[in-house]
Amino acid sequence: VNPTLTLEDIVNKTPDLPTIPAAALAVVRETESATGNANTVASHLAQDQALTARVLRLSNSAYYGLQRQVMDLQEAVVVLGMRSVRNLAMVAATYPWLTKPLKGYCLGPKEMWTHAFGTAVGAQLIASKAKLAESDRMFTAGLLHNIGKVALSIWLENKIPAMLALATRDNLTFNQVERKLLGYDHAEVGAYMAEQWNLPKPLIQAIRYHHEPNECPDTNTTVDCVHIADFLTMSMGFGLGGDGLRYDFQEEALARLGLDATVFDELANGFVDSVCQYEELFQDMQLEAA
Amino acid sequence: MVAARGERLTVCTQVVLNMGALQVVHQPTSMTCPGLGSCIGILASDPEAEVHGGVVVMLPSAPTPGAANPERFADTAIAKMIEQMVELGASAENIRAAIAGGACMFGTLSASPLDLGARNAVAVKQQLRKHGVTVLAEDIGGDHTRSIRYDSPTGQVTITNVIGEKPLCNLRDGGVA
Repeated sequence: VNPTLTLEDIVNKTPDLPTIPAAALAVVRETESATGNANTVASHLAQDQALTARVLRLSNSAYYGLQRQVMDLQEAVVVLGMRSVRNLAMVAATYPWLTKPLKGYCLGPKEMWTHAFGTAVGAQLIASKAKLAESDRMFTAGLLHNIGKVALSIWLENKIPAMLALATRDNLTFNQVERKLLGYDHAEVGAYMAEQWNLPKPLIQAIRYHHEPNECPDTNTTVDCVHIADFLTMSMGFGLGGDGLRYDFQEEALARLGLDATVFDELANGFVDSVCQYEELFQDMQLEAA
Repeated sequence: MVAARGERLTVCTQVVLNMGALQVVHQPTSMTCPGLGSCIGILASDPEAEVHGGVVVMLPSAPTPGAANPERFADTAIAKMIEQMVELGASAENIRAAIAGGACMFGTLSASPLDLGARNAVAVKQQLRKHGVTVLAEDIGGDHTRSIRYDSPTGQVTITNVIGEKPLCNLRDGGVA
């Protein structure tokens, strides 16, 4: 137990902490700003050749079923839309490190990715069920919601059995046990990382409150979509680790989106369909490590 | 692998069943349903006929008759698995099954529609009973993930979770751990 650590300590003392390429972060900020447009998105992305190459390969995957090959970023943004290109940039930017194993959470290779990608797809689906205007903005939030685990993993290595015993003894959720042990949970650590990356506020809040959306100080549908998507992804067993399903589900998130528990089975079935469709993105290609 | 003198070498097919996957085989097998959440892994065997089957269901019932992906739903998946096992020579009354999964989020109220794991468990047991299949043992519920594995040459069914591995039952001799 080391409750004297600060958030800064945790993040600064963690070796091999992931980074998101500056060009991808700029694209995220640009698509969330009022002035963002196809040209500015393409020009930010063009600053990073490796990322651009990966985005173009994803744009030409079977998933989009385009009639002819997209050859440059401008064209990709026009054909797919700037938010889809933003999502592809984030997939390309995070895939190399989200696919690594996280020993502290008992997650094998690719399991963290399976969970993050499932939550991204699920959050987008829930937003469209709730008829929210910008369902595709939820994707990035879903993809990043657990980034704090990447930093906390090394601090939790070999501690899971003891943490689960503590959770059972004191009737705590897993994030409450993280707070008891380290002073912070993975949602707080993730939000701190997102702040350092200067990500837009709705995204930072989605990361910070994904386990406790009722605590979010602002009305933020992204938080609720990610919370429900996380629940769906855990229920379906996508990338479950040692923490399992030991988290709260706050049903009020459904109500805030005008949904209720009776839609759950339909949502779950549609969710698995969406994930299966999205797998076409990766069918013909292997995203190389950065 | 080299067999010691007199030892019979058994080559097993390795089957990994993810959500919504169904497989039936008429040969020695090692079947695993990994990383179960609220879904339920069902591993079944008619050891006399040497016919083995497995499926991972994610929801209690198909939304409509003839719905796509029947392997996802307890009612249609179990019917399909038993039918395929019988086609390969199994007798429904000889089939023994072991089931695992059905977890739910921490603090979910029982009887809530959100307790998908419990609803799946009820539906799976109901369907197996309807088809005359005996559930020999189960590892159901809680808020943790687990995997279930069946090794047909020995009949052993094993549960693995983050804490470790434990035997659940033996589908060949009917023993329960």
